[in-house]
Amino acid sequence: MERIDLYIYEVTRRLPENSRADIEMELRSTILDMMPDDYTQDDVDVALTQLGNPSKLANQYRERPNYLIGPMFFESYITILKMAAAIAVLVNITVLAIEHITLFTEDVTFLESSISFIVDFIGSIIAALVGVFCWVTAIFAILERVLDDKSKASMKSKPWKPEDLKHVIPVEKKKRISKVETFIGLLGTAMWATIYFKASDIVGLYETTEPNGKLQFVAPLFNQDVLLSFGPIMGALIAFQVGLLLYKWIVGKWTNKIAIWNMIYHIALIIFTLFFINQANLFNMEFIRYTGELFDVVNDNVLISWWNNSIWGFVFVVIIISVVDIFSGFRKAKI
Amino acid sequence: MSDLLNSLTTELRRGTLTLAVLSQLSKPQYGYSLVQLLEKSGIVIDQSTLYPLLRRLEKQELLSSIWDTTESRPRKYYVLSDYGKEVFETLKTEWEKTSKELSLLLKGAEEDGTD
Repeated sequence: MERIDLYIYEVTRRLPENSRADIEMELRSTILDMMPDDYTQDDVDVALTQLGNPSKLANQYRERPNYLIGPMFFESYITILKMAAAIAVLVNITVLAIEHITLFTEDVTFLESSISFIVDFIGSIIAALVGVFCWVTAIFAILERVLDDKSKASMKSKPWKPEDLKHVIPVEKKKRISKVETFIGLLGTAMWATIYFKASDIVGLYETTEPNGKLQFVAPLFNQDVLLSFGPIMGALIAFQVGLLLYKWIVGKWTNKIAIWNMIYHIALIIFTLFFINQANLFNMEFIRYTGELFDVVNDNVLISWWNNSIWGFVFVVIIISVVDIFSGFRKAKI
Repeated sequence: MSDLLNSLTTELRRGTLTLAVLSQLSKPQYGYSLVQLLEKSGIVIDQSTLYPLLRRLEKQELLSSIWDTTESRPRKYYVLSDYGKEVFETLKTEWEKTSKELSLLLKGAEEDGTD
């Protein structure tokens, strides 16, 4: 008798309070039915073996799903997971870029700061993805247990019809804008925005100092005042580029509209670069003199013309890259 | 091989279980008497599956139940409700149709094999 009680207890303690009494009574009478009237310990063991593991029996009574997210929910779960992951990564990149721009400290070299930026970047993305995965999964697992079948069914997507195919526009591989492309683009924007706003601290000449062989920042390339006066325009340009990247990502392929916007962006970039280069006090004279000493050019005129040539060379490269990108955009849109 | 066969057989039988149970409940039965009835017809059912199934069918309003306390030990009797009878008849027709179709298919396969 004692064993029967223990068995029943093992089953019912796992069940909700309101069904316990009834199941207990039914189980007891069933077990007694399974045995002869003058049963022995062996009869009890045989009967209980037939009923099997009490926790399994309780599970059957409870009807709670033995899966985390059922087939009714799985599709919406995956969709929302992807969306949330994308948003989390974007938000993280933005926050991180702003952080790096505002919290930059002068006592680290540019190389160190870029490495720390990339490490932070990858780390925070992994953290964001893990967080998103945990939260979305937890919420769906709870919904799975709280909602009844009817409300679950209402969350399912509409049944598929052949007409739905007309919304599908196949994208050729050459036309496609990949996620990796967008990702690298955003990373690049974040980095050069950081470089621009912190240029006086990181862009310039470095020298190895003797005792510890560490790189020391000697002279900045730009005059910070000039850089800052261009700040708002630069900010607008960055916003433009980020907007364009996101728009490209959402559309997913090259279109004429995107190609035109891409052209506008590049033209704006070229105009900005030309204006920027032509600023009188853009470059730090100290830096220019320093390079002169380095290459043994003593004559200031020679130095200036040499300097100007390299700058125009740089501008030329920028323009070439822009033009190539503009044309490749239109070419891809045409395919 | 035998593991796969086992899981396939279980799968095959699972759907028929409800029908088998419903078929025996036009008259009231308690848990163990139902087990015996089914076993007499050669249907072996895991008892840990059957009792929860009865409660589930009751919750779905296919069965109604009543406690009989007049005998030496109280027993819970299950019987088909009106709705349950209706569902049972439909399910039965469906099963007969399926089994007829399937036996035709299987016979065809056999003949193909001997040719």
